[in-house]
Amino acid sequence: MHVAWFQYFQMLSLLVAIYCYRGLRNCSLLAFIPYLIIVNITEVVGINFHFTGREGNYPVYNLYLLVSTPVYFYIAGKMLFLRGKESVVFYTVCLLCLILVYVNFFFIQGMSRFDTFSLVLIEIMTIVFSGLSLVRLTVLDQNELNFMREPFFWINSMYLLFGLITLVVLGLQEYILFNHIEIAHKTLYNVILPTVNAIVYSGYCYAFILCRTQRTR
Amino acid sequence: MQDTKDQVIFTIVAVIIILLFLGVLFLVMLFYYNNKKGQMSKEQQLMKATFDKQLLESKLEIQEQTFDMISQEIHDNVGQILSLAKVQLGILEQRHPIEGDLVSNVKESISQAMTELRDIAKSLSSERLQLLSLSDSIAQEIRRINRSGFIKITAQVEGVERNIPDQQKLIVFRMVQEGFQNIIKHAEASEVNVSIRYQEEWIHISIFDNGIGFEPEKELNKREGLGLQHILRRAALVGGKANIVSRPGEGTTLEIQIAYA
Repeated sequence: MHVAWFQYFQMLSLLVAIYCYRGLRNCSLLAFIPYLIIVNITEVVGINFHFTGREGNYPVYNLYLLVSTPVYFYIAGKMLFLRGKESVVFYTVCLLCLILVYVNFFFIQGMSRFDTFSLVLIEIMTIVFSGLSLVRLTVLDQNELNFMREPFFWINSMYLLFGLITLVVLGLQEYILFNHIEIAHKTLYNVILPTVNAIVYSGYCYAFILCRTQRTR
Repeated sequence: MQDTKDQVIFTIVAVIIILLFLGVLFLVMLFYYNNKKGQMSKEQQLMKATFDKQLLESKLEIQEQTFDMISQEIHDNVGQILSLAKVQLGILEQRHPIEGDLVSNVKESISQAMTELRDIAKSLSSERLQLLSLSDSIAQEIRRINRSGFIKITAQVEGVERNIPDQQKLIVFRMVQEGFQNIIKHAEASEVNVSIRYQEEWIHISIFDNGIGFEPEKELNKREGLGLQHILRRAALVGGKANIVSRPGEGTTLEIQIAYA
């Protein structure tokens, strides 16, 4: 079984999330544990998919989009501190997105191709939600926040930066592969994504530790 | 072909960098906004503190004016009426002699009432308090309370009193007075010990009573705990601090520490 170096960061973030279970529960971020379990399983299966004798691991990542997206939307909803009609609007938008993702999976791009439409849509929603969450965190709180010690800030910043990068790299994934767009004999996304993953999951680890240290929000 | 690929790579990387830059710029703007908000919040707190201080000063001024007016009324009006009553009793005694000690007892009672009222007038008058030293004002107040016989207050003074500004002296005295009032009203104490220490830069006043005690934090949060809050606010007003140490059944100590202005 092959394990890529950036996967250690993903596994570490899962372990830290489990270790900081109580902190996550108090910060309403407990859904991160199933989310990270899905991420880790997907990466392990995706990277080692060729052992099954099949070509291409797109079905694994397409399934990942189907399973992880509702969990992500749930986490995003928790971080947006939704009130009254806001939650109705938010979950309606999420439901519509999910319908599009499922329609794309079953009727448009299918299972054997990488579902770039779904990915782009999800990344756009990630950027919007994390941006809104950060604005809300800054504007709504009456007092000055110490961003460095605010877990929601770290999580949303990581989501935002990850979304901005993957929007381009994974949105153009098929094009990059088909045209052999490479830097130093490595495909572009193999150059960029592992580093981004390592940074993002390290950021999550730090956020989880902050949740543990400041249990009462 | 290679050139086209390079252009594509360059464009993709450039787009990623620009998007990242925008993302980071957004985060920096949030930081900036957050800092501004913090500064504004601090300024607001400062303004509120200044406003509260001015409000408290005005309240104390009004209170002092009211005390002065009551003191004046007691001295000029009630005191005069009692003096007149005493004189009229004397005339009555001369014109219609009454057997027994009744008239002299009434006279004695009137004299006692006059002395009490005079003492109350003195303790209320800010002008009079400003003429006396802080220790003398407190000693006078202690004498007045001890005369009532409800409670026994003893006092020790350490060090030499430096010249304290009138306003500060008045506020400290009112704090001590409020402390005594609280003990009389709520503490069910039989003995009170007052210790006044004049140090190089500070005045320490400690008032200990052997009463029933209470939980200061609980009382301070109640509306009824206004007397205690007044003491704490007054201390802050003159740049000092007050601390209440108490437990149910273990008496109460009020510590006042004021810096010389």
